[in-house]
Amino acid sequence: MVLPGVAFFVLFKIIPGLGSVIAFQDFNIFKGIFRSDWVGLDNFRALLSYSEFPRIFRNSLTIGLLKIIFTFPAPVILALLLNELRPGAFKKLSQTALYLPHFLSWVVVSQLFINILSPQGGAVNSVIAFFGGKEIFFMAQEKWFRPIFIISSVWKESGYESIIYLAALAAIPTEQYESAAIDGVGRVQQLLHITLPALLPTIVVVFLLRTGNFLEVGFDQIWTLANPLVWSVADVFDTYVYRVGVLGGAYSMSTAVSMFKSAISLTFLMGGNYVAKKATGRGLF
Amino acid sequence: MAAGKIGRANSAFFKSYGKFGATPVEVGIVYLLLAASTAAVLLPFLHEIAKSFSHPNDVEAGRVLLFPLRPTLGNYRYFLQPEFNALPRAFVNNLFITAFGTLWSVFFTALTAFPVSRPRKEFPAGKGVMALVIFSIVFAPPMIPYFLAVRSYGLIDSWWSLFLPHTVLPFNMTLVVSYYRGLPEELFEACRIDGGGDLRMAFNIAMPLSKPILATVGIYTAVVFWNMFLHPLLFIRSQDLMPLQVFVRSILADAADMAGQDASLNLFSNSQSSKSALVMLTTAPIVLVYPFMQRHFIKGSLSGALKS
Repeated sequence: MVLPGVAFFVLFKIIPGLGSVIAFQDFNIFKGIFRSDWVGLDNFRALLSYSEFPRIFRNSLTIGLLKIIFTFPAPVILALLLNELRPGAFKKLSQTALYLPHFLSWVVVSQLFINILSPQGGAVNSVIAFFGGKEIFFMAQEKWFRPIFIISSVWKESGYESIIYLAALAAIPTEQYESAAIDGVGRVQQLLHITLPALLPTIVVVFLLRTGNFLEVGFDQIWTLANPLVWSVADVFDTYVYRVGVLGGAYSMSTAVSMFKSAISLTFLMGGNYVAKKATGRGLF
Repeated sequence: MAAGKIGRANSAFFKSYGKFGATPVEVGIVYLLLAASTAAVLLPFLHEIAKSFSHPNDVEAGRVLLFPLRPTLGNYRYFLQPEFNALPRAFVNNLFITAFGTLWSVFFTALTAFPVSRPRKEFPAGKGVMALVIFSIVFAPPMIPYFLAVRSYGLIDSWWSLFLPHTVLPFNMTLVVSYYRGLPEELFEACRIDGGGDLRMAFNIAMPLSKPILATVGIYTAVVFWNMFLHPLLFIRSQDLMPLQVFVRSILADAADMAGQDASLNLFSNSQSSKSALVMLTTAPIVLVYPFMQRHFIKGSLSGALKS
């Protein structure tokens, strides 16, 4: 019964994982993985001397960190706000609306942002023009790419990610709040002394998972949101691997990029876990 | 007790709006912030809907905000012309891929989860399989070796390159395993006493009783298939087999490349309003089934939350 499942994990997870060894080869598609020449660390050396590499490295780190800084707190805040509401039509409407974008593809969401920000009939530029401002071609300017990337991330996922915090909030006994209220403790004080401490374990776990894959900035999102005009600030490890590896055929080289990326991710996961353990006594492992 | 009065004096107010101890100003701020967030999600959709039903010239001039001007169906009709016959095709492809892919994946996920959920003495390898599952949640295989592996299996330009890599979705499997574990053990014992084997326990007891979690998992899976982008981009070559997202992206990207130099014959071709129509066409199926999904996905993410 378990065989098809195990076969799947071996074929599509383990074998591709082991296939990473081509990073140490001069992989040739006709010779295959067993007869290609071994070249040691040559690919990594070539990579580091590559003029494009610092840019991709910088973009990946910057976008990854910005994404954590801005998309991590947003769902916590949303959950805290939603938690203040009594059940009712308004709560239902806002939850329904806020969860929806998660289920749309990045093709759709990116195009939604492109259309709204467009100088040809986009609502944002219409409003700017209404107030007498000058039209801005947002998608064509490097300085706007990262803000748009972050805003679209927050827009798409914050609502859905708030569910996990709402679940944790629902588990806090209401008696704690009631007795605090009877003692005259205001809602803000309740937030600081009851709600946030109760939410901390969930926040730590989610934060650690996020630091572990903070370089998974999202191929779909970048690929659909960026265009050649802003490529210099948008190109990250994943998009680079796709362009150079899949489209360009530089298999070994781009696998070296992936390994480099995994090494950084692992470092951050361990580091984040260490810091979380020191600070809160809780970690993933 | 003065403090006690604070709680009681406003109790009618708190019952209907805020929670105990909140001042009306605080409750007001909460409502304001949530109303703003809700509007931030909904307004872009209303804007796109309005544009998709408007005359292209009005859209281009920035006159359309939340209500259509000179209402028309032309933007939608534009994509139903013969030259665009690939769009309905991609749409139908996507429906089929989503339907079959979801059945395929939910079936194998539910099947693989069963032995893993059993007690250790009954299925000693369970822990090992679970380790494999967790490992593959944490570490995604690198793109190039993954691409080369799928290619070496001969799956390029076949829909199996979309189905097979999603045979078991690891996160879904953790949900199903913990649900199976919550089922009363007496049922399985009774089944065994009646001479039922493992298959019977899986198909006649575990799966039928797990319909709620299988529905939840089915929704997650269907969304994965409907929105799939990178897999077809990597593995599908023929236009005839192209799923919706990649196809829509290629129309939109082409339109962007041609913008400015295309003095088009058709009023609607390459217009902002037709792009809006395309976005709405791609979104519509998700929005239509969304109300039915909502109940299930919240339940699923809660059981996930409890696990972690």
